[in-house]
Amino acid sequence: MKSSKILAMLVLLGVLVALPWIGGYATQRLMVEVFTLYAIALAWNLLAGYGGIVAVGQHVFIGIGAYSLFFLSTSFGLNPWLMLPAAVVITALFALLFALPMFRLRGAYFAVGTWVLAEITRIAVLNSDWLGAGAGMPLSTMMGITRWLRNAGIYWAALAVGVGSLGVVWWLLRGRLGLALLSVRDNEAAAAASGVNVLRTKVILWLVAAAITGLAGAVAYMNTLQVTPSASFSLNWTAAAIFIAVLGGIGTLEGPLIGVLVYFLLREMFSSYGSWYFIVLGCIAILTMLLAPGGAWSLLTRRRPLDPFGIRRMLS
Amino acid sequence: MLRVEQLSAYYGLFQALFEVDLRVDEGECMALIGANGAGKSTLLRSLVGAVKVSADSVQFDGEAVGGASERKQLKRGITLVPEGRRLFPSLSVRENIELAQRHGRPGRWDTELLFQELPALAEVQNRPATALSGGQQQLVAISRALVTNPRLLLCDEVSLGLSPYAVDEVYRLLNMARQDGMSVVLVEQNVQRALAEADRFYCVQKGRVVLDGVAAEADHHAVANAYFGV
Repeated sequence: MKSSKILAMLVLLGVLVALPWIGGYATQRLMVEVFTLYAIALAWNLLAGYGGIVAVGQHVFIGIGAYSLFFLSTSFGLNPWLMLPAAVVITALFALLFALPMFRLRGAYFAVGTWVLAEITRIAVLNSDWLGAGAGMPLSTMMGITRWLRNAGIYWAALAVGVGSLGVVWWLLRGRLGLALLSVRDNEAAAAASGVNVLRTKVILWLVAAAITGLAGAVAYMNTLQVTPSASFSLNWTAAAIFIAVLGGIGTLEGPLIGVLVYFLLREMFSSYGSWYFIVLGCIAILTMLLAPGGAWSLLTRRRPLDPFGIRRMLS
Repeated sequence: MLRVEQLSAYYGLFQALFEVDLRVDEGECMALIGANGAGKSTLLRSLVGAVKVSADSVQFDGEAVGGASERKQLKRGITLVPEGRRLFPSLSVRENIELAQRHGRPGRWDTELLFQELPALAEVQNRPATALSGGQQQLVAISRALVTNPRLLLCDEVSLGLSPYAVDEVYRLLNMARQDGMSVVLVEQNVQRALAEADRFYCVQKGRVVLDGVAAEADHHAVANAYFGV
């Protein structure tokens, strides 16, 4: 059973890696969106579902990650792929800088506080001529690279982001921090009474979520070759992440995976209906919260327990 | 070991404790008696650092420790079993205890010792902690405090809402800790039981200590007066 599971995963991974030779550019570009948005939703879910931290302004990290990559790469004429780690580091530093003021806020105030942070950053970028102000920046360093290699390279980066972020979150939840995280989510006061360093736990979570989101943002904008403040610092990113996490199941590792599939399925099928598409999307989210607050994953596990990632240690 | 001097505690502008003086000696069991809202829980929360008070008002081994963080007090050996148990529903019984052990002090008390002493708990160690009966949940809550190896264990209403049998189990566990030399502070609704278990007692009324003495010599009439404030 176990070896067959591993084999199935290897086959799936093999197919995903080989996609540039199998599928066309459109498929690759769609998959870049799928993987990056998956990572962003995973990060949102990590904060909200495992840390009890609702960040409405998570999209600030997308903008920071994307702008870091674009600025460094175009200023110094460096290969954009090599700048991805730098984008992660800069986003994490940005998150660290604002962690302490943000975590002085609680609950709804924190949620709105992060949104304000995102808005302020967007306006700051909008007024920064060295970042191209309102028009943004093109990724001119992509010029010498062939179309095939560019598309395939971005796709592989996105694949790595999706798989890698799942791996990081899985590792985080399996480890020592996992228990502390759940205790903080369940009851902050009791966690503190048990000796858990609540603030440190939250800040670690915040930094990991920021790093994942920043990296995903950088790859997402490599795909579009142009970054602008209004698009990259847009609430739409966080809204989509929340939708995916809610639909799939907040506080589960499987949730965002299912959520992202449903989200893109809906989008590919119905986005031509314009505003009706958004209305239906909203209705689906509301119905999910009312009828199945645990999301799609809870419907699947209602009858029999499933634990593909092996992180639920409870037998109950 | 613990000396509380002129302790005043506030929730915003509301003053919950007024210049409380008391002490707990090494290995002693002290009972705090008082009606609802008298300030007993606030007093315990002040001792562990959940309510901020002035440094001098709480002295532990002669050191002024009032207002220190909960983690610091835990490292010094002051642990609270909070009212209402406050177990983590997402974690199993074992995980609830192991989490506290990991962040506590090293010592004799650990998860394995507790499961050995409480076989009924060992049987359900993989269940979610909040899926147990009230009595078992309370044992988990006390276990969670014991594995931090405190020198001073503060128990807030540990027998509230439990069956008489479950209450006996809870006190059996506490007495094991006391035999190890742990000092215990009991906040109890059940005055008779508290006086039977404790060495000394303090009665708290509207944030002030109004009566104290040796538990065995307590005058029930005087305690009732102090309790009801008549």
